[in-house]
Amino acid sequence: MLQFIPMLTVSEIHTYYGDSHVLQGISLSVQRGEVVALLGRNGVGKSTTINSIVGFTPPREGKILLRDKDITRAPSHVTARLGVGLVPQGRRIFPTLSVRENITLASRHTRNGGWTFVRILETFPPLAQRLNNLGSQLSGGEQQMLAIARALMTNPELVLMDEPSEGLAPLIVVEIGRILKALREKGLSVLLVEQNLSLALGVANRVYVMNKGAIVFAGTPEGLRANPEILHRYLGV
Amino acid sequence: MENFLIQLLNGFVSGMLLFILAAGLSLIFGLMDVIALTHGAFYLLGGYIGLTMVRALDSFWLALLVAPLVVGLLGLVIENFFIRRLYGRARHLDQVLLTFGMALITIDLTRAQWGAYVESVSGPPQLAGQFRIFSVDFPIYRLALLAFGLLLALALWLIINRTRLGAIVRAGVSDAQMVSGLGINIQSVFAGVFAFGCALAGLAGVVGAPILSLYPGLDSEILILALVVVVVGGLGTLEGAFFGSLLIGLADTFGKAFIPEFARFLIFAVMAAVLLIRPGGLFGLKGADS
Amino acid sequence: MPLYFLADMTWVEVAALARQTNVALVPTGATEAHGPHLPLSTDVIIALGACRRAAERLAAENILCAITPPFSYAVTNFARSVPFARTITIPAETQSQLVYSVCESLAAHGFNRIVFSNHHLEPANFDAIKAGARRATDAGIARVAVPDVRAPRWASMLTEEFRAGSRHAGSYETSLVMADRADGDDRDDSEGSAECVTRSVWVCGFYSHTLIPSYAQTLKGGQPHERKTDSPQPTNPRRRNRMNTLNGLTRREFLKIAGLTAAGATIGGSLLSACAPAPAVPLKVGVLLPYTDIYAVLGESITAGMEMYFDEVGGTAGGRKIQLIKEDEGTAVDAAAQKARKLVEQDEVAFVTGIVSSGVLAGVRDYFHNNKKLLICSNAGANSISRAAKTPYIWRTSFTNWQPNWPMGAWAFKNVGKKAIISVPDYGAGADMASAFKNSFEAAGGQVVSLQKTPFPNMGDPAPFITELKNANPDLVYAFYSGGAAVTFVKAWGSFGLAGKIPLLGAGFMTEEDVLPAQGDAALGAKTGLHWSLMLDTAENNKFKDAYKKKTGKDANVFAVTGYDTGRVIVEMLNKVQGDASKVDKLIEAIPSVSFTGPRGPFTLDAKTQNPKQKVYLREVAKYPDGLHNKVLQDFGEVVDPGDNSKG
Repeated sequence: MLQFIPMLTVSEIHTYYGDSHVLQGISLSVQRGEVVALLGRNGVGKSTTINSIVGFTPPREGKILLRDKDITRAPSHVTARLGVGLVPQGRRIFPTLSVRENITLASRHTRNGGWTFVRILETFPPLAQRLNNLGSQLSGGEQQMLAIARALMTNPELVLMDEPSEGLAPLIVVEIGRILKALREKGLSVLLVEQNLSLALGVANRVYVMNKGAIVFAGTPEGLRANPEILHRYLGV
Repeated sequence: MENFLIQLLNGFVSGMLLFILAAGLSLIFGLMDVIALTHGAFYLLGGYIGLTMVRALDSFWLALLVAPLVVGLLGLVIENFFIRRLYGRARHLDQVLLTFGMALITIDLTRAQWGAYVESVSGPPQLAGQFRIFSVDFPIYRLALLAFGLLLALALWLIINRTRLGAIVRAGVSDAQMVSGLGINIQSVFAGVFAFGCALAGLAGVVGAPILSLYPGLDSEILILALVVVVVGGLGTLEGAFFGSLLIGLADTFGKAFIPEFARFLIFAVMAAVLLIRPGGLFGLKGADS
Repeated sequence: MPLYFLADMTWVEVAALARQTNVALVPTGATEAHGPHLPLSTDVIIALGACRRAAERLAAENILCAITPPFSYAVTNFARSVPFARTITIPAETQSQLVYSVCESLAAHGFNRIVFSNHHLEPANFDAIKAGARRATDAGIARVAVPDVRAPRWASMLTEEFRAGSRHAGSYETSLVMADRADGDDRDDSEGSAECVTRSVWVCGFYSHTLIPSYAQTLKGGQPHERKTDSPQPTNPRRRNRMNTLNGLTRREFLKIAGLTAAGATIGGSLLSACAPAPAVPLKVGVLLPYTDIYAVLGESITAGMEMYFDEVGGTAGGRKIQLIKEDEGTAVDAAAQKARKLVEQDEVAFVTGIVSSGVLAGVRDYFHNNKKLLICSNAGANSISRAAKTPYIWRTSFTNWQPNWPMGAWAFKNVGKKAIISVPDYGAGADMASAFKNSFEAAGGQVVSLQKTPFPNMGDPAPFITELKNANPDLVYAFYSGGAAVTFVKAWGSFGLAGKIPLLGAGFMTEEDVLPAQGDAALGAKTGLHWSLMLDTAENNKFKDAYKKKTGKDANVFAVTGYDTGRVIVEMLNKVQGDASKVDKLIEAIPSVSFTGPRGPFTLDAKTQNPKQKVYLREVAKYPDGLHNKVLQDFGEVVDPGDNSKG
């Protein structure tokens, strides 16, 4: 049973790239312990939403609250330190750092029961084999695990995941789904941006669908499944 | 043969001197993508501060400590108030204009403070005298410089490759935004690295002064040498700076010794040759990519 | 002292001036032909000059005057009777009415003591002005004076030519125009005019002896000691008194103003400018020396030496104040050549001095040659400028690169050894110096085993060069370096333990005072040849070096000496042409006769090489209580550049 304690509240944010108005009043929320999927076609502003939350492209208008803290214009590192973990699009593994360094680079420990290096290696066994390899030497799936591991090592309360299945073999996507479920079971809040509908709907508690910089659907995975028009118009199913 | 070996030794010493004076520039460029044209001016400033320390306190060792500290602090101030505003701007021209302007101001101030006379700093008395190698009395100071350069290179290598701070720096080189997305204040790491690079320039000014003297105009010579080393080695890598320094030091020394007519141009010829074969420099990451 | 030209002031300033004085001077002239050599505005120029000089004199007496814009048109009846081309005339009534109206307006603004300084001397014009002035005075508007320079009282102070009535466009007027238009007027190029000027200058010179005393008498009037006791400080209570009583100007005082305006100021001024010291227009001298980069110390030292000499003679030469216009030579030839052009073309300097770098000297040589401008070179020693590339327009007060090295060759062979290596920077001066030593050393029987050329301007890490020198094991090393390279080279020489093992000889610049302190003990024992040493024990040098140290706080160096001597050459040259620098040929003619005993000893300029004939001394770096200096070991006697490449 979910307790409705707001973890992330995004209200009416407008984000621009130069003159182009990319996010046109996005509002969404993630409750504690909830996995929320943000769906939509390419270029509708999903990644920009993530980037706006994490401070890479701060919104010009609107408000972003983490719990009750205003992080609208906070620098990225401050937002991260307040408990936001980022698994970015394209993974952005540090290629010149070893796997070990990638994992431990930003590690922050919590008092009890947080993620530790040992727990990470238990969770991602393939990484344990390759600790001394450079980040650039990993396969795509391993890189994705590493990106998730790197974010978890900061012991976040909320993880922003941007297309974790992108470019991965089906078998690996299944593995990523398994990991996501495990994280949900551990009570982590996740905002998941995905193109892989079945993966997203398989793990999400709630779903938002975006189109052209705006939210066009908000509801449960079941609700979305039951709405063929939305599925067809905005997700091409 | 004996002469060749001595010149080889000269080449290594020269290379280490080059490494000391180029390491900071390389580091700053590598992490921050900033071409710090202040480097030559800060070298000179460090040398002059060293001169003052040696004169006032008669201690080369203290000078070796204070000059980098002062220059590093100056670097911190400059980063904080000026360079910081330029991050994320695609154009290098802004940085070039800014750091060049800073260099001119620094040079004018050193001129006002220390005058235009050629100055020299004597090495520490502990390192005075010569050590006989074959029939040559080789200056102990130069041997110490060689050792110091190697130690500095080793220390920097260890810091960059074996510490978490070093990992952050390397991570910042490839993706600064991502580092900050992980909760690390890369901005202050930038500031620290810039200050440290400037401090290295100041340090180089002190250790170089007994060999290269101090005078107005030296700043631009140093800057050019440092740029050549950094370009040859590959922009922004420590290994590049190290082996680039050795290559240029050896080329310069053997050029001067055996084909002096071309000595002046030789290092530039070497630079051109390296860039022809490896456009990114010996250890280049950035240049090779783009 | 400030002068108040109404035309140049704002109304606010004029109003402020009117609170301090009620005296106005009105220059009046004509637009009229004045012979083939003088401008139509000749009378206007003279009238303005008279008013200006009167105002200067009066300001010295704490009487301020407003000078109005000049009357440029006058009654010129001659224009009708004689076909004087381009003469403009107005009717007498118009002139009279104009004078009256101007007086009325001036008085309304607070200037009610008015003097018309008329220098269009035609009787009808004078009468018209006087009539207007009388009307204004009679109407009680203002007290107006129109002093008449033709009156015997003033005319007696002017020239015979003037008194004889031949006043128009003769040497009287010409000299006055010249006095005010000495610079920037090309008209004096015509033969007739030149003669006029010469004559009027002579006339003025003659009369100065007889007239200045009477002029002074006029000026002092009834208070013979006033000028001596009147302090110029504005806080002086006397001055305030004077200011307070200004509006109650006595008739006697006002007439004095009128008198000064009429003739005293005119002739006094013209005499002063033509014949006496400190005229109004300073003589501009361009200085092109490095003030930045590696040669900055040389530029600083030469400038300090030169200015020291100018100070000694009160900053004037040939009766004119010397004004230095400095530009930075830097190190780049092109940029330096631009600065030379700027000095000549934009600043319109009389001539240029300076230039440290041989490269720059070679780079500007053609410019000075083609434009017939004088360059007095105070350092760069390129041999060619005294030889193949000699030009009448470049004279040198420094040396040729050949000079200090030539005597060293024979001496080194006789006293040091038979096998030498030469080490010089790889540029023109290095080659010059090496060649001089080599020729002389080999002529004596020695052998130069190799010639090491190092990168110029700075050699970077000197170790490879020093190692090569050591490796060759010669009897002696002969080197020429200066500035940073000299310190770097000599320090490395010491650190590789060669000092005291292989004799180090060279051109004196290598161990000169500017670099010795930085070289330290590594330089000890180095023997060099140069045309000067700080330790040269002569009365002239001791006086010079003490004064220089007092002025700059630093020991003198050879560059400062050259600067000092350059200053002297400039001053004596200008004295010989009486401050008239307009003719480059006259300047060039004057230079070779300059001769004196200076800090470096007897100094004369060799007319053949346009370079000093001077002694060269053998010097050795030795320890003195106050540090290292060059001890003078031997006087090689006078060394004159051969003027060709026969001796290196």
